[in-house]
This record gives sequence, C-alpha cells and structure tokens, in this order.
Amino acid sequence: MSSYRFSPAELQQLYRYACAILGTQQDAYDLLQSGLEKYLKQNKEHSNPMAYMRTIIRNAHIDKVRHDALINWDDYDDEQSVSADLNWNAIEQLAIDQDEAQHYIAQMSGIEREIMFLWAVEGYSTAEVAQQLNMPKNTVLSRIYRLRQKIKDNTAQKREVSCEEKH
Amino acid sequence: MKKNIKDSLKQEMQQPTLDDKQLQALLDMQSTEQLVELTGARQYWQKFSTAALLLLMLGLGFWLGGYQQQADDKSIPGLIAFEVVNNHLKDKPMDVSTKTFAQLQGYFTQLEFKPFNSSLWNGNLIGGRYCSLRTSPSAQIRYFDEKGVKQTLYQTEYSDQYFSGLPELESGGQPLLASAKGIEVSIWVEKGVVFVDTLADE
Repeated sequence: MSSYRFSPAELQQLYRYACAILGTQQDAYDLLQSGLEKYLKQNKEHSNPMAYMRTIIRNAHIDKVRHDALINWDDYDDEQSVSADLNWNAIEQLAIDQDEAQHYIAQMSGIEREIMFLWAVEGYSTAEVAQQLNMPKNTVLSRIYRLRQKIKDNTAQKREVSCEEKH
Repeated sequence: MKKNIKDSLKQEMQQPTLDDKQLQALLDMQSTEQLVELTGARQYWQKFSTAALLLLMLGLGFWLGGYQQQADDKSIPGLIAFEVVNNHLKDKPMDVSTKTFAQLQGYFTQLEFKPFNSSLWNGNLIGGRYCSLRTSPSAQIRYFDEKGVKQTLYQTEYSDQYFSGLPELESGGQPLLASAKGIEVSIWVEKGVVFVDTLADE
C-alpha cells in the first residue's frame, strides 16, 4: 500500500483540480474520494504523488464521461496551425478582470480548463502540461492559441459596442 | 480591476474549497485503521478474482487457440495493421451514412478530435462508426477508393503511449506500410491524428 499521505493543503489542491476538469463542484468530491481510494490501495510508491493523483482523477473522469456518453464536456476542433514561437507569453500579456475570468472559465471546454489549471495554478510550462496530459506540445499550444483568440475577439466586440454607444 | 490573466484565472480556480467535513473524511481515509479495512477487503477480492481470472484465462486460451489468430508482427505498426485489417474484413454496418466529412464531423462528437480529410486521402465516403484502435477511441470510416474497392480508414488521436514512432507528416515523415492477412495498410500521423488506411485489392 502507498505510504505517502496527502496533506490538507494537497487535498484542497486536488479538489480544485477535480473542479477544474469537471467545470463544477458537483461530483468533484466523489471523484477525488474514489481517486484517493484507488491511490491508497496501490502497492507502488510514486516519485510525484500529486501528479500521479491528478492522472488517476483525470482517467476516472474520462472513463465516466465515456461510460455515460456525456458529450458536452469538450469542444474539440481540428488543430489549427500555430506558429512555433507561440507560448504562454502570448497569453500572459493579456489582462482581464475577475468577472471576465469567471466568464472565460465557464466557456472553456474540460481540456482547456485543465490546461489553464496546470498553467495558472500549478505553474507548469507548456512542455510540462503536455507531459502531464500525455498530449503533443502542439495540441497544448493550439488550445492556448484558441483561448487567446476568444479573449481578443471578446475584447474587440466590447470596444465596438462601447464605440457605438458613444456615437 | 484588470489583472494579469494568469493571476485572474488562478484566483478564480482556487475558489472551490473542501468543507471541514469533507476534508476530515479524506484525511480519515488515509489513517491506518481505514487502510487496513481497505486492504483487508482487497485481499479477499484478490483471492476471489484470482480464481475467476484463472478460469477466464483457461476459457480464453481455448477460444483463442480455436478461433483467433494472433498478430505475427508485434511492432506497433504490425499490431495496428492486425487490428485494422481484422475490422476491415468484419465490415460491420456503419452507424452513419454520409458522403461528406462535414456530416461525419457532426456525428463523431464524442472523440477528442474531429475527423478530417487528409491531404493523402482520396475516395468516396460511405459512412462511419465508433471504434477503437489500441484502446484509443477512433472513427472507423468506410469509403470506395478510386478503383471502386471498399476500404477502411481509421482516425484516432495520437498518443505516445500507443503510437510512438509513427511518421508525422508535419515533421517530413512519409506514410509507412504494414500488412496483416495479406492486406496492406498505410499509416501516418497528421495534425496530431493517427491515420490508418487499408489498401485492399478487392
């Protein structure tokens, strides 16, 4: 059985991760609880228990989504071509207020929220996010590109509305 | 007040918090007593499931020996070819009939990508059905090639775990050929999606 024990702070962080991939607090506790049970029953020790727990939670979520045939958790599009130099810097320069953050998170697909959580909350780099999610780095970059476009489009729309109101 | 996007997202994503009761329950789960209960139950189920597994393997052994053929080539392309060719030969009915990729995309909403027309593919679509390739959820697409022969095209999301080493078009790779049961398949990766296309003669 695994000897590592998660601290209250780590459990809170894992709960937030579960909330991020689900997009809601509903069911996040159950997901975390079943993930923890699975972790504890294992005989292996892991070099990074937090990363391993996130993988357990993620896989359990994906299994459930597939089992229940829920299709609204993701909005997958064809990968767009992204320039090689696109990275977090491209999005980090953007500034938004708290209401906007809430709005964008609500609009994100499950995978986008997960990527943003690993980046913003866990402080991962693009390569680390790709490694944790077992997906090509280009896919991660495409998601970033898409989110940046959403924010830019939204900002542009707001400007237009604001100009029209002035006139 | 506007803030750096990272800080705004972080603040928002850190809002959810376990309440005291939930947190205590999770901490209790990690206590020694509860772990003994968990592993005690586990040992019982292990004994039971080992016996069941032995029986299952015995039955499966007979079944495989009698009816199934194993893939001769255990390389990744070989295993892919074996699985795709087997399913091509089964020719199961399509879940959706369509002549356009746009309609296929509308149907395959549960995949982590939208099936698309590759630059290397040419044919007249018949339809598609959900399937899996090396356990990865996939689109199994049926079409007629230029000679009017019915072919099968698989598309599935690339992952290092199951598809490492396959040629990526974007990196200058060329499709590789593998075969099973006398049917060749062409395999390549394009825009993060693995393509497997049968090249059946008839």
